[in-house]
Amino acid sequence: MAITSASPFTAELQFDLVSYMRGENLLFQNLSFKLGSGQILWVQGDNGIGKTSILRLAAGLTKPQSGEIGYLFNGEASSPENLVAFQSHYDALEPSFTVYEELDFWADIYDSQIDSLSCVTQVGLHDRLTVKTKDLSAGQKRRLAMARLLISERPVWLMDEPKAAMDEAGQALVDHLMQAHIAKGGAILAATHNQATKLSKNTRRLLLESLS
Amino acid sequence: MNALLWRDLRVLFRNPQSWLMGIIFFLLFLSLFAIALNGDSHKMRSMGPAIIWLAAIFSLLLNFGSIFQNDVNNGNFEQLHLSGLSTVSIVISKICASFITSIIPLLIAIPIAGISYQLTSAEMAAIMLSLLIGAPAIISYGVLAGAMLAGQKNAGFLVILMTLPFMVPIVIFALSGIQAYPAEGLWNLQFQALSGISLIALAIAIPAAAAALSAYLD
Repeated sequence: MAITSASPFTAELQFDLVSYMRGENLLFQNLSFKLGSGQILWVQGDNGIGKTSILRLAAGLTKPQSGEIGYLFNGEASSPENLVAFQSHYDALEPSFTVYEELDFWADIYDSQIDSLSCVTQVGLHDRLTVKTKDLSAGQKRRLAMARLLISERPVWLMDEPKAAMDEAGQALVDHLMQAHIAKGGAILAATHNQATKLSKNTRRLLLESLS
Repeated sequence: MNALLWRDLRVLFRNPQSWLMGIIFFLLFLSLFAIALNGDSHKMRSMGPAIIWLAAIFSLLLNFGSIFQNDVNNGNFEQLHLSGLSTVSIVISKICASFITSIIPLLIAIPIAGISYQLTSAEMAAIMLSLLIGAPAIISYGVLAGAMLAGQKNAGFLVILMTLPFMVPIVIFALSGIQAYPAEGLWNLQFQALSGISLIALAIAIPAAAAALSAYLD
C-alpha cells in the first residue's frame, strides 16, 4: 500500500477504548483517539509513562488487553504491516553494512519506488554512503533510521523520540521531514518527553501524566 | 525474501567468527582424535566416518546460539516484521543462509580429514553425501533452538543440549548409510530414511521457529 504523489489517499489510525497493562501496572484505560491524513499527534509524558507502549500498540507489535485498534486506507480496513512505519528507539541497523547497503536492503524489502539516494540526501548522509553503520554517530544513526521511514512509503509514521541524539540541524531536519510527510497526506504519531512542537495547524497533543 | 537471504549471507560472510569457529573446531577435533588413537591407521580407518560425523554435528551446532540474537536485540526483527515479511520467510532465509555458509567449508574440509584418516574416495564421497542429506535436519533443529533462545545470552550450550536428542536418528541412519554405500550405492535405504528425517525436521522446525520468534515481539 505504497503512497505515491500521483494518487491521493487517506489513511487513518484509530484507538477505540484501548486498555493496556504492563506487568501489574495499568498504563492507560479506555484510551480513544483518531489520527488521520495530514495530522500529527504528539504523545507527551515522562519516562516510563507508556509513550512507547502506545506506539508499539499502534504498530501492532503488542496486543492491548481490551479495546480495538483500527487501520483504514482510503476508507477500507487495512493492517499495520501495510500502513505503518515505526522508528523505534532501536536504530535497527546492521553494523557490518554501509549506509548505502542498508538503505538498498530496505528499499528491496519494501519494494520501494523511491530512489534510495534521494532519501540519503534528504537526511543529510549523502557524503557517508560508504561508511559502515557501526561507525556512524548516534545522531547519524537516527538520521539513517529516518531515511528508512521515507523509503517505506507508508502513510502512517510512528516515531519514538525522533529528536533524541540529534544536533540542532538534525532537529530542524526532523521537523522539516515531518511537515513534508503530512503535507503529502501522511499521518504521524510521535512520542516525546520534551515539549511537543506545533508543526502544522493539525498538530495535537496527548498528555500522559501520573497523579501523585 | 531473496533480498533477505542475500542480506543474511553477507552478514554471515562479514562476521565469519560463527562458521569459521565451527570449521576450525571440526579440524582440531579430528586431529586431536588422531593423536589420541596414536596414529593407528587401522583404527583410524574403521572409526573415521563416525568421528567425522560427530565432529561435523558439533561444529554445526556451535553456530546457532546467536543466530537470531542480533536481529531480535537491535530491533531489526521488529522492522522486518513491520515491513510485512512473515516470520516464516525470516526463518527460511536463516536456514538457507546457514546451510550455505556451514556446509561449503565442511565439504572442503572432509577430503582433507579423509586423507589423513586414510579413507577411500568412495567412503569420502559417502560421508559428503550423507552430510548433504542430513545437514538440513541438523540445521533445522539448530535454528529452532536458536529461535527459542533468541533473547538469552550465552545460549550456545543450551542449543547443543536441546538439539542432541534429535541428532540420534540422524547419526544412526547416516552412519549405516555410509556402511551400506559400497554395496548398495547412492540411493540406499538408509540415505532415503535420512532424507525423510531432514524433510520432517524442516516441516517441524520452520513453523515452530516462526512461532517462537513471533512470541518475542510481544
